[in-house]
Amino acid sequence: MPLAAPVCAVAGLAIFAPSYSLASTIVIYAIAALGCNLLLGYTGLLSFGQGILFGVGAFAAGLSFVHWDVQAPAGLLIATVAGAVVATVVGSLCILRRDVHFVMLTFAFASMFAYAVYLFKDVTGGENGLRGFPAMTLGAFGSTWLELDTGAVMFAVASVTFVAAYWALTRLTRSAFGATLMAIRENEDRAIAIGYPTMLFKLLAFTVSGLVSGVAGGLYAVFLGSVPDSALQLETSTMILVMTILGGTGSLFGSFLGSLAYLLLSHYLAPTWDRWQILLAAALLAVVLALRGGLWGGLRGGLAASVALVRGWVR
Amino acid sequence: MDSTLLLSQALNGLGNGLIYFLTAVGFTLVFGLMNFVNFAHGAFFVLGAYAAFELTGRGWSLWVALLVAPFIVAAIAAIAERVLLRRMYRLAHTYQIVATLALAITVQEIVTLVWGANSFTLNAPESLSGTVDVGPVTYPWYRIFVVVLAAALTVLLWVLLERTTFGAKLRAGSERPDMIVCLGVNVFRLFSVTFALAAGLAALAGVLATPMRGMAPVTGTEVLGLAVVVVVVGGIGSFGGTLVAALAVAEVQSIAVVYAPAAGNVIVYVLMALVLLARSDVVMRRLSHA
Repeated sequence: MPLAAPVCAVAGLAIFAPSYSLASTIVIYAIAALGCNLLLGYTGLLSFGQGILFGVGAFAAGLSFVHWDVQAPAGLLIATVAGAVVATVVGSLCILRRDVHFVMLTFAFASMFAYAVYLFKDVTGGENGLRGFPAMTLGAFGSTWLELDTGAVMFAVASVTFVAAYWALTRLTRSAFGATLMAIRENEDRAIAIGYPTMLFKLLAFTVSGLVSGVAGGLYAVFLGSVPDSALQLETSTMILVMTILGGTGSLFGSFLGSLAYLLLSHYLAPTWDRWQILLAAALLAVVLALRGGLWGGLRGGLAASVALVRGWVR
Repeated sequence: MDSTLLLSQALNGLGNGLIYFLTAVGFTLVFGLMNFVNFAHGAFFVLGAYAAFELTGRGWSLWVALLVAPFIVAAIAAIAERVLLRRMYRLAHTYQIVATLALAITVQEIVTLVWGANSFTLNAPESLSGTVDVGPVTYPWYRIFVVVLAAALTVLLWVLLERTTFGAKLRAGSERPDMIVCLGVNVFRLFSVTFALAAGLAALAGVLATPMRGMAPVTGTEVLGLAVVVVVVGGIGSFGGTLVAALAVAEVQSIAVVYAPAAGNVIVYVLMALVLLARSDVVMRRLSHA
């Protein structure tokens, strides 16, 4: 049941999270990490462009709220399309190169977008970010169904999107398409030799990643009621990458765990200890050097070990 | 446009360019020899500046700091290489980038923990505090000094790489690391020394730059970005290319500041992307047998 895991995750958040606002943030970044995971975990592409797609989604939604006065669903749709379009364009250039040069190309594009925020101040608002959104509502074609004014409603919208994205990506990664992406991750030359058009597959992975990251960015704009300039900065890319790797690359549930761990750490430690990111960096190093499966891999290993222990006991 | 302003910006670009070169050349040497992508390279630049801050704060002059700080940072780098980084050489580039990114965050947080998040600046030495007339431009002595010192170091570095046994080993190692092991070179010591040299040069650049641009813990990220641009535009592993690219990047930035401050950085990254897309066959060849 591909739906069980994300539904349980969201329900757990609804019950245990200290606030709806934290729960919504966790879910929104979990969606972004899902998008990152498709590229990094399944296709083996380390991209610094994840923040671009998230930021483009956020700014696209924000601009449509400010200038066209649309309601939340239309804004999210625009964010999704914008994320996919930018991902396809940037991705089509980046995949022309491989290995370090691919990473450096994504780095160059990410930096370009980051500085462009300040170059086009009258569009993006520069350092102030994009402000002055109308009140957020759910509805379409002139009729309004629901005010997005409480944390619970916002969380519900983000959760539904998360479950939908998780379900879609589960189907995708378990399909022949997903298997091909993993073949590219394991050995691209071999995949080419077998006859797969790997460029096309990588480009499609980018597009889907853009769809998912774009909608996450759109949700972020709806949730905040503004778009900070940081949404398009490298720090957002790094944050999403860290969540994905920490949670476990190549496992969709890992993306949720990564977002959960990152934001819970930040929520509980940041108010009392400014330098809590040292812990994060240490965890990241540990994952890269020792624990490749990330949190999810560790959890699964621990679970398997304890099940074996209990079995031995009962017998 | 005011020609005096342009001339003074062009001079600034020259100084900045040489500083970029001193920073980026270490990145490219380490990549060429060890096939190691170090996204924590910007940390050495920042550590150098903070070492100088600490030294001058204890009453030493900037001259002493300029001489001592690079060696302190080189020593730290040599230890880090021995204890931690050596384990990363065998990793895939993707993992190297993630691991060194984590290191960069760690260093940035430690620097903030020790010295605070605020930016600081160092005063130029008393003897270099005045200005001098360069044609129509009144220009600070300190910036002239930076250009002269950095240019002298560039020449020295060239001699070191092209005219000494160490340089020969380094260049040979960049071509075929397995081969120089067979020839009896202690490749691990060569790695350590190269890494320390790279870190020391970046640290020196950091000290030199601080009186001109100020310094903060987050500067490392920006500097790393510029180093990556310079290395890519110049061609990975190329000394001359790195020098030309560093000067070009700094000039583009300096001149663009006159018109639109953010434009310079955008142009620089567009340049980087174009180079990667256009001439990476040269770069790829270097990589394939590294």
